[in-house]
Amino acid sequence: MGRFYWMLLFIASAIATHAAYVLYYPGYNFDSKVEAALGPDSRNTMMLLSPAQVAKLFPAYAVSDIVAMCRYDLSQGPMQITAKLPRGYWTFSIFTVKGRQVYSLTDAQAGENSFAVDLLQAPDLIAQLKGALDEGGEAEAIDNVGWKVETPEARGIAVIWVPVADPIFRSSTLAAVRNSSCTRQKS
Amino acid sequence: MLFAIVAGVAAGWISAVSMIENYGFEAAAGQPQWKERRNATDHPAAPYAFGYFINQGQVPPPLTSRHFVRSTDDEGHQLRNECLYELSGMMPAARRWSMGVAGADGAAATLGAGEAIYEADGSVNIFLSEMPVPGNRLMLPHQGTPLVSLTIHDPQEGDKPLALPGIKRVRC
Repeated sequence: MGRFYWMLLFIASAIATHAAYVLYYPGYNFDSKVEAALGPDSRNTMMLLSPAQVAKLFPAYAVSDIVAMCRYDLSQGPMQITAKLPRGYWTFSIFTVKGRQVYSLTDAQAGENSFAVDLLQAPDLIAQLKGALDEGGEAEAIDNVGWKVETPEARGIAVIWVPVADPIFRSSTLAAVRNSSCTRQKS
Repeated sequence: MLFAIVAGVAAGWISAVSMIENYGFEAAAGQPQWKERRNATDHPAAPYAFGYFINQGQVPPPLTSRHFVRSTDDEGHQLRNECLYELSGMMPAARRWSMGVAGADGAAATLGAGEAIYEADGSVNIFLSEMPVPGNRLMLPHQGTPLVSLTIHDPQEGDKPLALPGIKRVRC
């Protein structure tokens, strides 16, 4: 009986540690590492990344590519991300703070080179129950234009990636991507 | 009791680190030197595949891409910083590709499809070397085992095996 009890305690500790390390620790670790790479004032603003920052954060992109990134925090309300990008290949992705990709858009899917995406946190169970009782609320305050994305977590990152087809287009591409924005949604 | 808890925590931590390192990738079909990141979000290994990047403070490759890594040449020998290697072949049909080589400090030398010089038949030769060489080159890191990554963005063959270039050792 005693041996069974110790074995049970050992297995429970192992499972709890394993799950915590895989499911919860990465989110805290990732957010702090991104903040260290981008600086403390990088929340809720669209930042054009330097080649060194691209090399540090994005293993899938070349440092010559143009990457803009917004560390969003929806705890104070929805955000809107807008961009007007040059013709050609680009992608727009939204990740949660734990690295799960919840949204993806490419030039081919968008069919045009400008977009506006409203970003809001998916309501939890209590909020869903509350929302069913009183009409209106945050979700309905959002304009019904462009795309609307609900993320399961309040924090994460939105990434615009534009690979430069030819170095001579780099400066014009940079200028276009620089005009992208990540702002709090007006209520 | 304390011993059982400490041993359990250690076992859980070691198993998590090991699975994040290994379970998030699988050998590419027909080219076992390349390991492909498991892409499906509903795959049981998905948290480990994300964790591999997240724990290094990196953003995982987007799901519209296929991401491969390797640290050995075609003969299965570990890549070495002091050697010269040639990566050659056709890149899979896709909207874009990008390559990188990372070392112990994680900093990577990269090459994108728009920067590369192509052969007349559309193939590409890329030298992996610590020293400058003519043509396409990815600088090998000074420290740590080099890890080569290849990302195929929006491939035409979304879920079929892709023919990837090989890596031959030229000299050491």
